[in-house]
Amino acid sequence: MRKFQFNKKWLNLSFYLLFFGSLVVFPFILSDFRLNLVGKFLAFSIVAMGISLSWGYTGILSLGQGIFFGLGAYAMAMYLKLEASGADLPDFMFWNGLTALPWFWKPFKNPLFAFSMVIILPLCLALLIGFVTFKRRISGVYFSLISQALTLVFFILFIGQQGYTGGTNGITDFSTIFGYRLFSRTSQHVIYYLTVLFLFVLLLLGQWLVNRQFGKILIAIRDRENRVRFSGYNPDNFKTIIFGISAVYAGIAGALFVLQEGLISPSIFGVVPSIEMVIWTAIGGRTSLIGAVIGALLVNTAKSLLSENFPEIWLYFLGLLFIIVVRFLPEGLASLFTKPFSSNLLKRQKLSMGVKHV
Amino acid sequence: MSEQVKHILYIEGLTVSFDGFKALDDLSFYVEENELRVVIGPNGAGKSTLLDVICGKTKPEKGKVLFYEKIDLTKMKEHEIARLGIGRKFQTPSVYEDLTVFENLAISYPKRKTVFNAVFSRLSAQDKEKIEKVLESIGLIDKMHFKAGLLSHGEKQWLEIGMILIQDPKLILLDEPVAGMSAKEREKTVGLLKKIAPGRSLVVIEHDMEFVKNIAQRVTVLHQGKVLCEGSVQRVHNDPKVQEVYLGGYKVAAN
Amino acid sequence: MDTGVLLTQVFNGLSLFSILLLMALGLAIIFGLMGVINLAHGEFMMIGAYTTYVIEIFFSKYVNGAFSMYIFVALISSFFLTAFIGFLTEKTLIQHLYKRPLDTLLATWGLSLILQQSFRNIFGANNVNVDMPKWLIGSFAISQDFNLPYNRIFILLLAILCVGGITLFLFKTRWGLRIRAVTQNRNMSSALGINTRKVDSVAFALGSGLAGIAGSALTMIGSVGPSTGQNYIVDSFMVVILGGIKSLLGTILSAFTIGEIQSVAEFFSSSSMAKVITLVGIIILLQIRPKGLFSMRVRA
Repeated sequence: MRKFQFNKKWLNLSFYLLFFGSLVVFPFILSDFRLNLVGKFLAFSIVAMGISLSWGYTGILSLGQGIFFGLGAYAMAMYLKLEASGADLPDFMFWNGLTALPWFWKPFKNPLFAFSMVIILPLCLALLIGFVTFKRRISGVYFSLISQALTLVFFILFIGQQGYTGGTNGITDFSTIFGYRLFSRTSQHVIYYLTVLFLFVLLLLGQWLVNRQFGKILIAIRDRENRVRFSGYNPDNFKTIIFGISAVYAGIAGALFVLQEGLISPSIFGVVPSIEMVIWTAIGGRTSLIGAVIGALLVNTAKSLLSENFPEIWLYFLGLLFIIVVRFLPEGLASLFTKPFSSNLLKRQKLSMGVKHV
Repeated sequence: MSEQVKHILYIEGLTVSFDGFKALDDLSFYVEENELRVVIGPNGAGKSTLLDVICGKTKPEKGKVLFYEKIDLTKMKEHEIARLGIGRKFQTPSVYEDLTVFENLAISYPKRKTVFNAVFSRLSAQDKEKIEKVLESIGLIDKMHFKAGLLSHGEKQWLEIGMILIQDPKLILLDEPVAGMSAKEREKTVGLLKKIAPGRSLVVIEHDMEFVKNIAQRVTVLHQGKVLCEGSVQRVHNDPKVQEVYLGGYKVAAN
Repeated sequence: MDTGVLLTQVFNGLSLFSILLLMALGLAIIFGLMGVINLAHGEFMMIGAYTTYVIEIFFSKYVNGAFSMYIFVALISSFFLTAFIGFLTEKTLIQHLYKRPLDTLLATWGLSLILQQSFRNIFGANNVNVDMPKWLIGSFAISQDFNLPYNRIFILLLAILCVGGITLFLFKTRWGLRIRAVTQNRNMSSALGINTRKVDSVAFALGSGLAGIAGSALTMIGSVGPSTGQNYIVDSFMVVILGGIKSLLGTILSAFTIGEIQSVAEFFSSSSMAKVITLVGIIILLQIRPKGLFSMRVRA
């Protein structure tokens, strides 16, 4: 038994080493185009980890992670756009008849302000949504549908307020950061490693959170919220906090995405992309953070390969993926690696203890 | 709580209705400190609703529900009531199947109930000792690293009792603790309840008359949201009104 | 303020109300009974719409003499075809996800993607128009600038007819009784010998069929495309949530509220802002009544 666990630990460790090791060497072996894709997918992985925390561990299925991703992305893009415009008004504002920079754009000239907004905006919005809905005991599918409706609201607002947000086109045409060319090889490598670093740190943070008592309580809330209440906890607070954390993950991911995509528009964070984010996590394994990361990488790789060559097949494929995973592999790919061990283990325990089948 | 108070639970004029139907109708109900009270009554008599009101799950239409004769429970949320020292066991076993037996108890431990503590504090050696003590008393010490989902029905019920016990409550509310148990398991549960009863008050809902006879000091019979009769098991058993509405169907079993 | 135009907009709101009602009625029956959220409901609606489109073409090509009557054939076929597809969905997918409502949500969304893409491949990515029979064109003029278009009157009557039919079905037939029984207490019903699986299938087929009728009705007031269903799905769910599940009257009133708010808000601002106003309004209302406007207080 001891030895088995020891082996498993090494297996895990070597997997993580291999994974992050290959991420570190990618810039030396991949073309710039592919590296850029991987970098964006890694940003998506961060969103997926956030979803795993809120949905997999706590049972809060948000169909609105796109909102938070979008807020992080826009906060970053606003800074970049202002830098690109210099002393002038950003082009799309000029086209829409604005004569002065709106007040809420002004502070985004300051990079520190903009970068902190990447975290603060999604966090505050999620805390607000969480606070009002969880306090009113709105949960389950109700919460999912409301988050979806909110995504639609944001989507429409961002398209409608062209002068402030760039409308359908979003915020585009920025090419420098701190005076350096954004899409030079060096900058992109720096940004790529920054993404890997964030992924690593946020993975550790998430793992740490779920291993604490806090994580156990999240699982308890997911499975029996009432029991948790009668044990003297206020689940509303826990749910609000974890929802906020998942929003921060999405926000950071959005900012990292913009740095590599070079634009952000409403179509990137709307209703459909938001629900697509959930499938990344579902495929990888909702209760496994690294599973969620792998899921995001796999789905997006498949998407870019398929939609480059057969754009129509991609949607059939994605649809089928949803159905098959949910129907046959509810714990995602991660369960293929962990479940055979544990379920056999459980079976053996059951037999040896004569425990009644449950 | 400096002055001596007699009633740990003081309920007066309690009315709860669901869409016109009165589940509790101007009910008065008092439980003394260190008392073990059994509540019986036919289906729909309002037994579970009574527990729901006490632990804050259901808000009453009118009436007083006081803890130690002065804390108004009707104004409080479930977790606040739990923190006062009122523990509730549900009718169907309600444990966290995906956590181990040990974790189930660790979560229920009275400290660390805020988000901050849940993230930053750790179990001390003392805490672990206390958890293990409870594990021993509910007879699950050998299975502490099992997922709770693997336990048998009876074991789950005991685990839930343990989860309440570890909160060290002043008042324990138990909803049908022996339902679905084998004779042997029942016996064990009776022993467990008798062991935990001293030093606190218990309100137990039960149908099983054998069990009631075994543990009850005083019995309250509810019928249509009202108290029909209250007293010793013998007295309740001999009360003609009770025999008519409730025990009639159980006569054979009760004798 | 232009009263006539405003009144027209109020009347147009009744068409939206009718379509939302037909959509939400099906969703509410399914959700109340099985706790299942069918995100493909919007695509089920489009199955009805495209069925109508195909039958219209068929009639204008081959049975032009009976063209004025095609709409009835279309309505009936839409209902049955969509009900059949709903039945298959329930049998092959939903049934296996019982008690996993969030997973059902995701699986049905996958189904909706597949259906949308099939519409695109079969009927093209562009919207299609369905020609109305002559008797549905034109309008009943009340004043110079307040007209009641015949097609919109027809849709309203259709919705009323369907609601009446559903009410009769639920409260006067054996199947209706079974559905109500299982909705209230699944275990008890099962213990009493009701085949709950069969009840689920029937209810799911019925709810889907209603979406088909909604789609058919939708073709009478505008063009439809592969992703039109998506525009209605969020609203329909809001109707169900706001109405409170297990309440027929609640669904009707909440469909009315949402349909009218949306249409009247369109009069005062743009149609996209109207949607924002409606959705935000609903979310605020839900803060006040989290279980819906017309929910009952029941024992948990």
